[in-house]
Amino acid sequence: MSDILIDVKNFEKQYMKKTVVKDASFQVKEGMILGLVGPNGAGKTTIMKALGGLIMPTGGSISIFGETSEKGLAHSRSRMCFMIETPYAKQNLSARENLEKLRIQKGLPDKSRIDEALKMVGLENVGKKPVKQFSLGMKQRLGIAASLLSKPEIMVLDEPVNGLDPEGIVAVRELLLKLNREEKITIIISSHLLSELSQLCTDYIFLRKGEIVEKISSEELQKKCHDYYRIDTDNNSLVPALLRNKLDITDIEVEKCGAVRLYERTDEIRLISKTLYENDVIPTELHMHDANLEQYYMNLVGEKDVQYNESTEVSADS
Amino acid sequence: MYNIMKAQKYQLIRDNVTYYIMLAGVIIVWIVAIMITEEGMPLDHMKGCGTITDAGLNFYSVFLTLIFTARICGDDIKDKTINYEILSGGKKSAIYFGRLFTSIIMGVIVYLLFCVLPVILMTAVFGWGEALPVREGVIRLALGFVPVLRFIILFAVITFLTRSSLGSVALGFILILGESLIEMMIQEDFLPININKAAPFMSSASMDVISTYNYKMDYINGEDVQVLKDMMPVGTIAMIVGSALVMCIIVSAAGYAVFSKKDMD
Repeated sequence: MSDILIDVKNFEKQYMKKTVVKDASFQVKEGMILGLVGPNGAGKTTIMKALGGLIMPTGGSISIFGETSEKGLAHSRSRMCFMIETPYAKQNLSARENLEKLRIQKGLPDKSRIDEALKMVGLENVGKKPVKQFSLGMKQRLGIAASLLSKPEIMVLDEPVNGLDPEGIVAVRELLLKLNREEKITIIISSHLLSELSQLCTDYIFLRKGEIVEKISSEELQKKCHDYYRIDTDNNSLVPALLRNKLDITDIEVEKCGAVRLYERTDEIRLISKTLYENDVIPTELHMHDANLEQYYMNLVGEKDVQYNESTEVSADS
Repeated sequence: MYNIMKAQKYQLIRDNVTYYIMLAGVIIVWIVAIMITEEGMPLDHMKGCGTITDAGLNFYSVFLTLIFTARICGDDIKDKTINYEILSGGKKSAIYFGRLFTSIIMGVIVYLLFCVLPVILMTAVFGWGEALPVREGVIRLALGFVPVLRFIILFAVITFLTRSSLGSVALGFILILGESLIEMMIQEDFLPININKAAPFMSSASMDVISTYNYKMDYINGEDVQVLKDMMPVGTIAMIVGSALVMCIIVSAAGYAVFSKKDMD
């Protein structure tokens, strides 16, 4: 996981003088499964489109496989595959005909790859049924099959499980994990299903209103996502110092309202509350919070403002 | 670019609409032929050479190429399958010119089917005729594709810029009718312009020059007949071909300059 395959520096995109992505910088290393997380309009698809060459950056630079020129980037993209927005397909052609057209257009000599790709996504038995008769889930699978046609080194997938049934979602997840582990394909993926991303991604980029608010690995995220006690008292300003000085607790966060999040020694809550009482600080709220990617996302990207302590990398306001 | 052209061919062959347009084209030609006959101009009177000059098939093939060009250049933009070509590393120049050349090839097919084939069939059935020497007929038939080519390039560029096959057909239709109206006004002396001088700038004017250059009505042996007064001079041929090439290059380059800068959303 040391080779940098994609290097985006200060990427900016404006439409009609409206900035939709601002100063985005990130790197994608070999073997990563990078999740782009953010609400609608955060800039996920814009970044993916820029990687795919569908839109031109209005600022910054994009390097893929070390190439930065238009010609070099076009060549690099032949080693990648993309599924952006709804999968594109000719509606009057069958799944096989769509893939055959794509194979001809890409200049791929191996026809058997079409059968392999269709089998991988479970569309091997759809016959000559035109794509216009496909369900959204089938179209989504066809989009993934199209992505797999050329044995890519990097896959860029925008909402790949959108419209799939639970079985389909699991199948796609397992397929992507298999491709990442066995074929060493690096993956960039966006999804609204955060639980899905949490089972896939090795790294995350959180976006809000066109800006990257945090880049974090799944290990770091897991560390941050562990359960915590939320302590609200009648005198919150004293709590951090009390916890530090009396109980030697340092892993805490202070919310904007002053309430404290306690991440360590959560099994000693009786001792903690006793210590607060003894120092004339009366807890008004003291309860356990389950934290996960969704919670983390809501805190970071959502409207809820949270001010982190010095141990947190980026606050929601940054 | 060659791969994109091959993919376009694959798509066109499997598209039923391709065959419907061709079939509709043939039916309309038949209907027009029947109407001409019923209006007192028997087809045997027209013969092979008259099919080149009088039938207006060049003009008809322009409409058909408009529809095909709009489909070739516009349909993939509409359903966004064109995006796959960029996403898989295709250069915008290959994507643009691949479709442009496919449209030209389709135009050649349409021209052969609807302009050249009827001349061959009419000649086979009724003979070539006396009004036009065969050599002059062949030159005019070959030159007839030049204004069609100009129209194809223009339609392709309009489609790439409007990003809509339907919009392009509508605009193309207005353009054809507009040019024809101006050409008619020139011929009827409503505009003080010589048709030969308008030809470098107007496809329909050059089409008219090719069909009717020095080809006039005369009264021979007690009846009105069309006869060729003079062969088409080399200078006129060069003007038609040269101006068409210049216009094709300018229009397609300008279209590419805009297309290459535009985002593919």
